Amino acid sequence: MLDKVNQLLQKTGLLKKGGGEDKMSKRKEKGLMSARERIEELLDRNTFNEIDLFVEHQGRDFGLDKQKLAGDGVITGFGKIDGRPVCVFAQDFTVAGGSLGRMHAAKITKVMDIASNMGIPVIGINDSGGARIQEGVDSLAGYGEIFYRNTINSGKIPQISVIMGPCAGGAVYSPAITDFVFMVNKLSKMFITGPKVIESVLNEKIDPESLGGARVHNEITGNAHFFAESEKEALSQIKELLSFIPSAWNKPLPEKKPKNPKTKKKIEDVIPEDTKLSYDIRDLIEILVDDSYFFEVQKLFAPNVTVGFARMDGKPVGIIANNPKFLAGVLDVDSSDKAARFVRFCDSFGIPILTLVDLPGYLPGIDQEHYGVIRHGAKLLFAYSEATVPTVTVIIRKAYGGGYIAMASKHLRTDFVYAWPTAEIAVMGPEGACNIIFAKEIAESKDPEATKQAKIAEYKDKYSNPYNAASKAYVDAVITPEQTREMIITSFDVAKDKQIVIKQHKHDSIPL
Amino acid sequence: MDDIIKIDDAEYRTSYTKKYSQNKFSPPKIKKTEIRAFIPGQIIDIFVDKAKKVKAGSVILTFEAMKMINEITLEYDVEIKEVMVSPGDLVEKNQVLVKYKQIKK
Repeated sequence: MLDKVNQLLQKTGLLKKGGGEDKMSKRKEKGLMSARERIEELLDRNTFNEIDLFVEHQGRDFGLDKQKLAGDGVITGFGKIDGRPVCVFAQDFTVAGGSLGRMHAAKITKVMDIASNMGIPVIGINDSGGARIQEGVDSLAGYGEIFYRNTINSGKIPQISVIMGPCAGGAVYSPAITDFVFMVNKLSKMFITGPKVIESVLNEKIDPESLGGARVHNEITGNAHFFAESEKEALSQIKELLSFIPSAWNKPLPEKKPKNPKTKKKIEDVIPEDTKLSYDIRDLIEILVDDSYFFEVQKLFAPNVTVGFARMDGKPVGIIANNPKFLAGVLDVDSSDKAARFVRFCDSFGIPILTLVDLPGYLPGIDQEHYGVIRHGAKLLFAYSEATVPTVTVIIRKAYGGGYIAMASKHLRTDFVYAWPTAEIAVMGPEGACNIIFAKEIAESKDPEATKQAKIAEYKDKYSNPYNAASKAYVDAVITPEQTREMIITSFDVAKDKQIVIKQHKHDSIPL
Repeated sequence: MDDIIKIDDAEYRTSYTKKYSQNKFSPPKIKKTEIRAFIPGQIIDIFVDKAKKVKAGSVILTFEAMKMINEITLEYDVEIKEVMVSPGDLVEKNQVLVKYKQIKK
């Protein structure tokens, strides 16, 4: 008995060395964590249970049959984060470059299936050179099996990807389908075709970092949701994200003890009354939420709309807010995509949605029109319209035109819509409206500028306020800034057991 | 926050994002006097010379891009003014390949 147990320990010990001590120590010299260290850093201490350590590849060609690959280049299993169970896999770059073969993929899909059956999140730590070419089409089949599960599990369990090395070619599509992608500065790379292919085919030169580094995907493409300076930072961001979301779509939200906002900032100091002046909406969010703590998602991408998680009365909420600090808080191609995706995530997982509105409309421009702002903007309307979680909207200042409708207006079945006395709910701003309605009058008057200003003042007085919309019941109440936090909390409490009509058709057809 | 965005005749003070200020979008202008590379690639063969008259639809040059050999033709009769590239040349996107003059009927 003892002999056999010792034999087991010996075998496991060897396999846990991955690609061997040489490769491991080289990694260490570069300051990189090993795949196993990453898992240990992510999970609660001593909670990791590995499975499939003894799995071997089944490659028969190109000399692969003579090679042993420890764990087939990926470590899989389950453990706990803040006491909650999760499934996890980490590709091991020291074993055949973390390349994905059939059994490597089978290990990953096994933990994905466990996560799906148990209703717990799955976290993938990606660090792989790509398909294992020697295994041919089996390797592609492996990717396909992963992508399929990513898709059918979408909206059922949270799926999180962290890129901690290269992730190229078809491999990028698994992270792309998951809910959140974390990237590490100067370490993570994502692209469909790498710099070498681009140069040989198109004669265009670019280095991997400028092509698909963490900054590029966080700032420009929007493929990534979180930017970290180090591996440790990325792993701690994942833990924090999980503290706001449920383990599965039908499981309770992780609540904490309610806390009052701790910021000393005051609403009247933060928000300028002149609607043409900007401010940072995050200052207002801090004033409204528990402990003044806001966990921002996609901070660097399309900052004209701010999205993220916070707690109110101890319960998680998803916040979508126009941010006048950037591009006047307009909706454009990127900000519509960003907001729509976040709304759909919150709706899938039962996280109540708070929307803060202050926008002059859509961004004008040839580029926006030609990049398809119509179909991108449509996604946001669509996402809000189909959302059935509790929703509360507060109109802070400007809510003009199509932007007003899209930002969770009453017309899209938002549960409670409130407006501040500073709100201006109208088809367009006073200047634009007067230039159209009173064009003739202004042009024909003796002093066109004076007439224009008089008309603008008149329009502002009559229409640039919340009372017109309130008189038609398009806003449920006009509230003071001081009341706002209490009103939001009460409204979410009223809506928490909201009745949902389940659709009888297959699924919608969102304009992508 | 010194940047300004104009929407519906009103100017809003805000700050531009990097992506917004770097946006160099302009609709493509197609001049009917030159053939440009629509994608980076390599010239394979050229079938015209200076001063040659070419019928609409006949192949002017072949151009390899994205592992595909493309035959470049024009939809009107032209007289070739200048050939700017030779077979084997690697060309960048938007590089001028051939200059021509349309022959009016």
